[in-house]
Amino acid sequence: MKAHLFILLCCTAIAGLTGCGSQNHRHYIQYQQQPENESIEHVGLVVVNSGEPRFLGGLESSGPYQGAGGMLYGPGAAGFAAMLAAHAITQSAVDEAKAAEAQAQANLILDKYQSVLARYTDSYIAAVSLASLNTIIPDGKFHSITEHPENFGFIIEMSPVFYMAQDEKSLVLKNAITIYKDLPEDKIVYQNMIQAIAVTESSTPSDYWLAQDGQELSRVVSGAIIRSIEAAMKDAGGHFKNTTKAQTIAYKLSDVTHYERGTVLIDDCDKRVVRTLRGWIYILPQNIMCGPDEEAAAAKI
Amino acid sequence: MLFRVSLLLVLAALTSACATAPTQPIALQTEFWDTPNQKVGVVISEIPAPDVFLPGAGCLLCVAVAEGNHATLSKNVDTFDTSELQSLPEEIKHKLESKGLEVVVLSEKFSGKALKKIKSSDPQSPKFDYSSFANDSDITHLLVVEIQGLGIHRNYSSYVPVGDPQGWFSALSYMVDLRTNTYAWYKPVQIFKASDIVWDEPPAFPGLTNAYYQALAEGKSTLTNDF
Repeated sequence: MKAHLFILLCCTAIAGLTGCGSQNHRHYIQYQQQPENESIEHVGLVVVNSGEPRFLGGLESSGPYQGAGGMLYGPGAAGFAAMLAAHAITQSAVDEAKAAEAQAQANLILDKYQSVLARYTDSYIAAVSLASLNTIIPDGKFHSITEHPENFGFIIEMSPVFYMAQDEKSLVLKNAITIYKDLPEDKIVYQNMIQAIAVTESSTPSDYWLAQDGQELSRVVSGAIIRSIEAAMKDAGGHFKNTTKAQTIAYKLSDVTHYERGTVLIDDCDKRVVRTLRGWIYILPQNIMCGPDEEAAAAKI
Repeated sequence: MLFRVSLLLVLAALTSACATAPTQPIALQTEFWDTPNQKVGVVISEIPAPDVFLPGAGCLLCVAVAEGNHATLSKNVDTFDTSELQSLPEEIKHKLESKGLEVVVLSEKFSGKALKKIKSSDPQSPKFDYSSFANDSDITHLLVVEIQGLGIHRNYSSYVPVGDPQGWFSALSYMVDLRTNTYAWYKPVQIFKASDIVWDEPPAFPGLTNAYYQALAEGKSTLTNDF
């Protein structure tokens, strides 16, 4: 009997332990696309207020506090189980506190840009996006809405967040976009994370961004949002085909080379559009010499 | 009691003597680039198949449990591609040639097993006699890339995983001066890359798969960026 109990305890402990050290179950935007490709018309645009700031300082590392570290435990299965629970709770609380502190520290980089960034309220983002989208894609398809009214063909919900690198040489937009079909009932036709990157080679990046009352920063922020919406609409419409073989794509961000596995969807003079293994879309800056034909083709995107 | 302590001390002395100190990295001297009449041969080892490595699962049952818990992940790792490493010798050749060196890529796959062992107390000297490469061709230096392991790596303490699995690439690269059989350059490379958000996403494990390819690309870059 004792032997059976011991084996049972061992099995329970092993099952519990093998789960220990796994990552926190953080949620992220899952790529989702309806198989039928529809032309998206009569679009209502909503900037979702998640309560989180729209602009953040970039952290040097994407996962600063990974791993559970080593563990010591005393004798006895009960003590062992209690240790596991305590370890999980305290580790999680410590990690969150450290992450919040690191983020607050990283956000200090934005202080000098506040005069420009303060303009980017949700209603301003919606207005800027609509003005540009209705210019690029005419016929007045886009309308600003603050809640879901009826009789819109589609509704695009987005929640853009920008990250400024600590050396201020790059600005990364992560825009969570969901497209609903309004009728006959709210139905998600597309959902994805679109990431757009803007970089400057200037040795004094803050002078570059803030020149002429922050005109360059405004141009880049607005441009990234527009490009992300365009990319989402193209993807939802089935215009992005995964025709190339997966490859490891290198791109520079603040003098550091990053790598991402994915398929190249667009390879233009000024940008490269990539679908990552998660299905997300990355719009990466590119600066290659192109002839007039390629430039004209790139201008259409 | 005294006998037992003495025995333990003798055992400790013996076992520590058995362990040889690892070779420390050796930087390529700037004079290397200026020395005339040098020709470098570049050779790469067989590229092992990507696998799931679970070091620290030290007993048979621990290994069985750990492997069982990663069965789905192992299946995904079987699909990992290594072809991007095939171009490594050519990339190194291109870099060395851009610095004015004469370089040849050797078609054979490198294996230390085919070489004669050398006994040396100096941890900074090669453990093999590489002179056969000089006999077979007119190269003065042999640049070896040994891919030691790649795939997914997760540390264990018996039954307990002590961290998340990570993309892993391990290689050893060195250049031997064949005229003296000494290292002109020695660089061990270990790259670990964590999944960006979560890792436990069966069956495709996009985060970990991406981390594997990131480790591979970063490893390749680390191996070539000294030239």
